[in-house]
Amino acid sequence: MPIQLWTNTKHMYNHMIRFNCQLLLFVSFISLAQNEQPMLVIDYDFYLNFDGPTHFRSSLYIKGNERLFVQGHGDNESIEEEKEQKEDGSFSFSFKFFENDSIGGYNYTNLTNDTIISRKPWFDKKIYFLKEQVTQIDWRIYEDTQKVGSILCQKASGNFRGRTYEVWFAPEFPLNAGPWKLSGLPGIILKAADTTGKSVMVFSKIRKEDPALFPRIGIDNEKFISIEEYAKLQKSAGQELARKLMAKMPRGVKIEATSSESLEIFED
Amino acid sequence: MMGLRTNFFIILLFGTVFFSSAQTVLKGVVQDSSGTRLSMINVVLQAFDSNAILAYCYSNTKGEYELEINKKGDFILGASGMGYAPNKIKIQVNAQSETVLVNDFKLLEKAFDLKEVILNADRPIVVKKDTISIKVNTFTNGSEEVVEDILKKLPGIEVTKDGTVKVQGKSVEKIMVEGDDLFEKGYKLLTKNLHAGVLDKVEILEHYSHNSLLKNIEDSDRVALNITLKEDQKSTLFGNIGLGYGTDQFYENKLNLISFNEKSKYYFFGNLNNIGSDAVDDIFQIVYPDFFTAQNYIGDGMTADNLINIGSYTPDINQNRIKFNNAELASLNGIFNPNKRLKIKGLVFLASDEIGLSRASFEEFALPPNNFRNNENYTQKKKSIAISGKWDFIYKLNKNAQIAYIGRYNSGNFRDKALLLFNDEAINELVNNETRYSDHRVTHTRRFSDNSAFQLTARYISDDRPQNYLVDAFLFQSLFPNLQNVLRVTQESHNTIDFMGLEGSYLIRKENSFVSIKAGMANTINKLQSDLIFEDDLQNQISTGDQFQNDFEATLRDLYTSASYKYTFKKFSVRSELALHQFSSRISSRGLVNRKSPLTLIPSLGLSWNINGKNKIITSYKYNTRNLPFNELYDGYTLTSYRNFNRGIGNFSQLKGSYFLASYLLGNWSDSFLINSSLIYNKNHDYVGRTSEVQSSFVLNNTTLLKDREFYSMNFTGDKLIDKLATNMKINVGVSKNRFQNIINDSGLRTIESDAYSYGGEFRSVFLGRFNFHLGSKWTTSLVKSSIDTKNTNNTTFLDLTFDIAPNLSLEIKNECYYFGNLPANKTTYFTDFDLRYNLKGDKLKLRFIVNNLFNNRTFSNFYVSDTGSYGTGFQLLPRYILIKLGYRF
Repeated sequence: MPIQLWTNTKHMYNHMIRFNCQLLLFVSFISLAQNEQPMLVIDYDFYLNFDGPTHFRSSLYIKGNERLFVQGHGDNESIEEEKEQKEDGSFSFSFKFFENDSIGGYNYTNLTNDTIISRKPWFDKKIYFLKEQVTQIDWRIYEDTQKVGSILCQKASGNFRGRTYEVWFAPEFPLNAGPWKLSGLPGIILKAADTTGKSVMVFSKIRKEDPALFPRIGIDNEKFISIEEYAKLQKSAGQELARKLMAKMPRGVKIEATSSESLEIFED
Repeated sequence: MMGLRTNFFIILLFGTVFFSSAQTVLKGVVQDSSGTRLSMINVVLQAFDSNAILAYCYSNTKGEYELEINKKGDFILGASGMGYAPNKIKIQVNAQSETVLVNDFKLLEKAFDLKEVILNADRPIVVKKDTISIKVNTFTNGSEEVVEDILKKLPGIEVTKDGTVKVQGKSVEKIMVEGDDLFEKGYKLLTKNLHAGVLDKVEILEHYSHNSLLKNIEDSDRVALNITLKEDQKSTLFGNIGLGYGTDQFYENKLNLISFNEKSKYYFFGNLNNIGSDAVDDIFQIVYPDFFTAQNYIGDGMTADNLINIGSYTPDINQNRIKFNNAELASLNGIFNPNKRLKIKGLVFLASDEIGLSRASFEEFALPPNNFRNNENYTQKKKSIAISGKWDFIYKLNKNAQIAYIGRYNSGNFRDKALLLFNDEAINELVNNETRYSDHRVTHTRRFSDNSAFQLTARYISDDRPQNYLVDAFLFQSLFPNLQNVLRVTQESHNTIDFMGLEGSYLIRKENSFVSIKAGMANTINKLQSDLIFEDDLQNQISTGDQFQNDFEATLRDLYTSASYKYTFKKFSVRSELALHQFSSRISSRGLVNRKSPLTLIPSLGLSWNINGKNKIITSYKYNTRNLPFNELYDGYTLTSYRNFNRGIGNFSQLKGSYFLASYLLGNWSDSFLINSSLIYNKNHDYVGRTSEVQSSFVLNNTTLLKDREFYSMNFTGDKLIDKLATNMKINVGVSKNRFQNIINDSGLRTIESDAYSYGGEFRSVFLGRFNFHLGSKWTTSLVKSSIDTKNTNNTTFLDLTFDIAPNLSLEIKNECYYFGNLPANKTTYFTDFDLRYNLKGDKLKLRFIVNNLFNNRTFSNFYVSDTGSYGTGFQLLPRYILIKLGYRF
């Protein structure tokens, strides 16, 4: 009943408001553009557990309708190739599994046009720029709450690119944002883990920064590949890497003869 | 009439209630206090009395939002955004048909009150300096059974198929439980048996030092793991039992029992087998790790020798194939922590084994004018019984100092009986050996600051080896022409080593450099009494005279100081070392005393250059001066086999040599092409050579000091992936050249050039299906040039096939082929083994079906060339057997 009344009253005002609104709208667009909201930066510990060194110190920059998730550099970058020649002629080695250059990988999400642009350093010094539409993940929200650090979060789960993620989002930060490509919940995702434990993202720090410090990324002149092309690329690289690994193994050492795993799983 | 209509109406109403979608749309506009429309504001519809979120969205660029709901009742609709105070209202949805509820929000600005930085103290992985602490439950999902299953899921930790645990590519030194190390390198017993459910955290300890006080001071690249258990699981008992029985009464039974408590941990291990498996090896590595690794403490690796070892030569194949054994081994290992300062470790093991070996061999001696061919047919049985113990007491004096005592004891009796057919003569040999070994070490470690420490070690080692050798044939008639009717030869020997040492070392670590200064004193006394006695047909004992006796005592004192310096600068790393030794030797042999006191300087230099990620060069150079080992000094002839005599020099001497190594590495893992090449050059300015008198029935070897022996070796390995064949190819090429001299019979000084060329390759498939193969082959061509020229080419080939038939069932077929080019007949031997594994109850119950030596090869023959001719042996092999093994983990 009360709502009905309200609507009627609004109806009466509409005329006037409408006129004003147009101006207001115009003004408000400008105001939006000059939004002085501070930039929120969330640092995440990003763990990927596929056969190798895996801890990344990532950061998520949130400014207006832009999100930039910078994967960061691995803990173990200093261990590149280490080969030790033993007296019996055999050698032992350690290796870096994730290709990275000085800029690294990142995911730039633009909520205005709903796209994600990802920069991916690849083997043999190649770099790929992937452009895709934001995938609307079908989240199921539970009533469970839990403190992640000191922040109360609520649980949700959803499937994305072949993995099921269990995430915890913070309603007290009501922004559509999350690490990597996970988003679309009524709060920032502060913790996410896929159910096989192969990928875990947990926030380590939340801070405010001057929005002018949003990292500059120059992608205007880059050539983009589609998500389908990326799927093909990933499949062949995974196999190639596993095979290169096998070449080095001496007799008696067994490795699982499957292609190496990846964070995004595409159906054939 | 009326009634009907009413009914119909009622039905319709109900119908409407059931079938119409009670879809309510909630929409509106979100604005701030000045009427500006706000985008990206979160609008959430929540249940009134719980956290359940029924619908949500973000306002669009026009500030508009729209939600749909199918339910009715009371709800809370709220709008919230960063920088604004949240605005929530209660709404009621009771519409029975499609309704649109419009509700606009006006949000009041509220300063974004993130004044301080928010930190998460509950991160699953906490990194503190060199310790990475991982909370296990973040990465697991409950399906893990044993610790190994959890380790595989933790970031940064890798577990290979055979269970080796690696962190960032490096193999871990040990896996401790609550700070206690029960297994050292034998940690697979832990990872494959301890229940996953008891694990709380796993800590990765980088730059690990066995001595915690030397952490960050000692130059260590080692990694270790420490597991902490859940509070209520600190007491646990687990292990596994395996029973295996097969054809022809073959068996293999094992038991591992592990118990953890707060203050103590125990591990019991038992093994009974007759399939040639040497269980002593694993325990040996725990008790005597210094025999296998570089020297860590003064006196490491010091032992006395046995003069005679029958049948010590074995071919280069899996030893399980040739050992006909009957082994029993039991070992108990425990750690006690009576209080916070003291840690006590104890280990004791008993091993008894009866090993039978059977071989036929020949030696072709081709130097004129004494050419001969000897044939030997050996059947021997070695019986051994040994008890070994090790105990550690580690006491922490305070935070920066500790004192440790480690003691070891080994006592064994060995009896070797052999029946030998030498040419056409039947000979019986009997060797009785005893070993009494004890080792005591006390180490005091004191840490002065974060980057400097001092260590003082005192050591005492005693190894006593009496030996008695008896052979019932007399082959030395031509050496003792005056003796008649000698029926038996006996050699009684007693070899002992007594070592005492004291060493202090001071270690300093700076940002780019590491310095270590040592000074010490070591005193080694080696005594050898040996006597050769002949017994004639009348049972008279005839002594052979002092040429065949030893009454030898050598005392070597070493006062030394050494400094080593390592410096890292950008991509270069330099390591230099200088050692100064004042030796003082006193050798007393059969009444004659000989003293020498040389002052010796030993420098070494190493350089490595990491050119870029893909290219690396390593070089090192050392000018070394070595003392002649004791066993080259015994200047009375000692019998080392039924027909071989050795005699040493009798004078203390030093051997100088230069060693140079250069290695070049190209490529890394992401490349499809990888090269590893190395070059080694050794020049021994002085070396131990031989002057020998070789006859068919005996050999007399005299140690001679010679000059200038050279050794080169070049090795190249390349890896390439062939995409089209889904196969990896590996090529290996090597050359080595050895140039030295010796004197045989009346040859005068003859120069020998011994070259070996090896070349081989491997193909390893990486098919994505259930089948894979690994094929490899290696040829070795040996050329020996001296007064005679010999050439021989051997080949070893293998083919492993693996089939993953089903998730619980896998089959592996291993094939090997050995080819010896110069064997007159039976040049090639083939082996095939089957291994079928079936998991009955997940990982808890496993069944294994093994067929060994499918083709039932009875002999393995090999052939080698030397500078005097050639020799070959044929070993008797364990026949084909089938073994069924059942393993249960509890």
